[in-house]
Amino acid sequence: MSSPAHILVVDDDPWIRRLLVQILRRYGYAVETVENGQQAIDYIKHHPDLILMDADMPVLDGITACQQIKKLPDAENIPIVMVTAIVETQWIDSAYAAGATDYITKPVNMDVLRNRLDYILQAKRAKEALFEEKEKALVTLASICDGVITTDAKGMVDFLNPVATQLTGWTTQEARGLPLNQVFSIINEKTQQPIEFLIQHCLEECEVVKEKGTILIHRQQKKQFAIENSAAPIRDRKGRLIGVVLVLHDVTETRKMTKALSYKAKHDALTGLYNRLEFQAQLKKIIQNQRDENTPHALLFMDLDRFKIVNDSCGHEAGDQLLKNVALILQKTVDAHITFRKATLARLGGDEFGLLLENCTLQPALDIANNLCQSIEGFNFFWENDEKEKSRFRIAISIGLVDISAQMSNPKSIVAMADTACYAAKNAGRNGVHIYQENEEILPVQNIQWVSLINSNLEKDQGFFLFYQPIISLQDNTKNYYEILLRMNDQEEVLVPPGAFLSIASRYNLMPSLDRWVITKVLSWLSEHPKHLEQLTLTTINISAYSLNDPNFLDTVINQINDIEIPTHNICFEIAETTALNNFTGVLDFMIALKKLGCRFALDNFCSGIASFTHLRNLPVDFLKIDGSLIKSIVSNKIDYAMVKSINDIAHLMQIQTIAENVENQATFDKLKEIAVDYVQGYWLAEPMKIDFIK
Amino acid sequence: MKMIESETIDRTITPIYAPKYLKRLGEIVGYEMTRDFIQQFLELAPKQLAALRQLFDTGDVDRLCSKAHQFKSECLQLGAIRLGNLCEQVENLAKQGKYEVIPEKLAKIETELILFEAALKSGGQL
Repeated sequence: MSSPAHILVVDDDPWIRRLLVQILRRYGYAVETVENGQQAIDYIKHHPDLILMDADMPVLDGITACQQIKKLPDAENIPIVMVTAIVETQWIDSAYAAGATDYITKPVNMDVLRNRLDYILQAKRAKEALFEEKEKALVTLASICDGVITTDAKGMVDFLNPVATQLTGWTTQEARGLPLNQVFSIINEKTQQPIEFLIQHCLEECEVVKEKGTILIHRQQKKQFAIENSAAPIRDRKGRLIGVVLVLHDVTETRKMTKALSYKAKHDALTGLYNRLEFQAQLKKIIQNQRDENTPHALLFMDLDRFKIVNDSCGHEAGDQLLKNVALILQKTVDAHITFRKATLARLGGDEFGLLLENCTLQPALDIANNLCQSIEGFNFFWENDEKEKSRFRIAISIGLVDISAQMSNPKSIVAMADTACYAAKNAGRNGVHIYQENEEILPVQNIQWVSLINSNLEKDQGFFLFYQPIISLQDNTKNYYEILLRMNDQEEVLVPPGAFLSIASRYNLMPSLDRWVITKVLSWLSEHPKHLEQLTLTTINISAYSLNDPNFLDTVINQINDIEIPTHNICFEIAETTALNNFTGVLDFMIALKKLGCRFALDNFCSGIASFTHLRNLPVDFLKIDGSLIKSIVSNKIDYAMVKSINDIAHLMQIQTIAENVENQATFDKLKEIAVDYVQGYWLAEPMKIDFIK
Repeated sequence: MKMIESETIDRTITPIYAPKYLKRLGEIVGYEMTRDFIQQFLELAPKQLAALRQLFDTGDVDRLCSKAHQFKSECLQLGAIRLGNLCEQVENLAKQGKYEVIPEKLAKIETELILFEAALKSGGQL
């Protein structure tokens, strides 16, 4: 049950006061009395719900008191009913002007008084409830995270909540009565052009208007907010349009995050260039457009030369820095030479980069490719390690160029063509551009996978493993001979025999890298195992023809041997007979240079070619490894037996020791003993094993 | 002259008091309480009149007006219409500066008070 309304009776006449108190109490009100206007003002602190005020009173009259009460904080809403016998117009007008709620003349009709008081108090409660609702609505509007602007039916601003004030820079007081578009200043995010909010549409069509992709400009012009806004018409209870409510949702942070995510999805984290995915997407797009427009485009596949040296010698940190620098140089060069075409430069992975040139014919694409080669060639990479040791590297880039024609519809094929052309550029001596020719054999996808596996394994610790196969002396079994072999880890961590990957490595010019890797590992393994080194007589390491074609290979080997202090006569390089026949000078130079250091040489697979003893005589060879296919048949084939015997004899005459490969059974072994070859090697004698198991 | 004419008319057509006021008051606050109000009024009335006379004698016009106005309200609230009218006449005459007629009106108030009390008694209000 609610407490009774609290009424203050203000009258200087005690008799009237007493009368009113008795009557009002009978009506259920709580009543207090004071004698004049001043006392009424003092009483306001007790928060009466209503004041019955006489007009003519000593000390302070009722009208003046009414005026002053209305100015007091929290008192302006207290209803004041003037109760007086004065009926002159001037007094009545003054009372209402002073803020009186009503004016009742004496003698008071008590029934009229009761009804008036009921009505006034009811209206007051309704007003208070309404005010409370409004307060609640205002607090709600102030509390929500979105900006809210309301307008009248003409689109003039009526109200802004604090968030709207924060976003627009306008307060309600400043903006009230102004056209919405003056306060709500927006531009299109994409075009950056000012646009007008469609408030008229909202007002005229009475429809909800939603907008995305807009930027709200703060009043001071310095701040901008990405927003999504919606406006809805406001209707009164009878459905008449009375204004518009506009809700502004600040999506600045969300949009920033979306942009960052989108950037991450399209860009390479290390270099900031586009990534492979985006490159492929762009390529796909231009191929699709090309069908309609028939415009020429070009694709460049770029692979760094000698990147691995930096990575191997200075670590991944240096490698990463080098890639960043290269990316900058490429981007700079592309920017300098691409003025009107669209170019998409991407890091495709590892040390591979791609460049897509739109609306570009072959010649300008070739010019750009040559410029890129020159820029990279002219670049010196300096690196200082933790010990403050400084290194300088010069690298190069091999580029495969594809002129994309309208007939090319498969993005993967185009990349494969460019990849093939890039390898051709590498094979042609690196640091150059190779234009893909129509009939050029494309690297099959499987090959590409092998190539990438070999490349990635070269950069891993456990990518390759050294194996060894003993070579047994038939004269002196105390000596320790073996041949170093190579095994590769595939993606499932299964060891792959060399037959599976060496042909790919040979074809795609990876042999020099593999040979370097083997030499490095063998030398370091030996230096780490000095006891084994004491017992070691000979370890043989295979060198491929491709490595001998590499102009830097010899220097690398010499440096590696010089860097490690181990007896060089224990190291023997095996070079295939066919390699010596095809590149006699190169092989001879290689042998002479390393002979000077004390290394020894074996001519491998002798008799798989033409078995030229003339060449043999001119090469400083220490061992002759008779081809396994010949050895296999010496038991069953007398001619082969005779050939092996004569090779052995001639070799011995030339002071060259012989090694028989592929000894697979006892019979072969016996025959070889009979012939008196110096060494035998084969699975029947000993299978290859991990170098770690070496005794 | 006008005042006298209206007074004459009042005398002839206006009753000493209108019972409906007291009747309604009785209904609201009870007849005991109403009687109490009347008695208090009658007790205070001579003092009110004496105050009016004193204010007139001292020439305190403003307070005379206020006092007459206050007394009028009390009279009218009890339905003593003629008394109320006389008080109003005093108030107006004072405001208009027509002081010479005021003593006569005050004398009439005194008479009217006696008539009012008598009427209440005869009407069973006291």
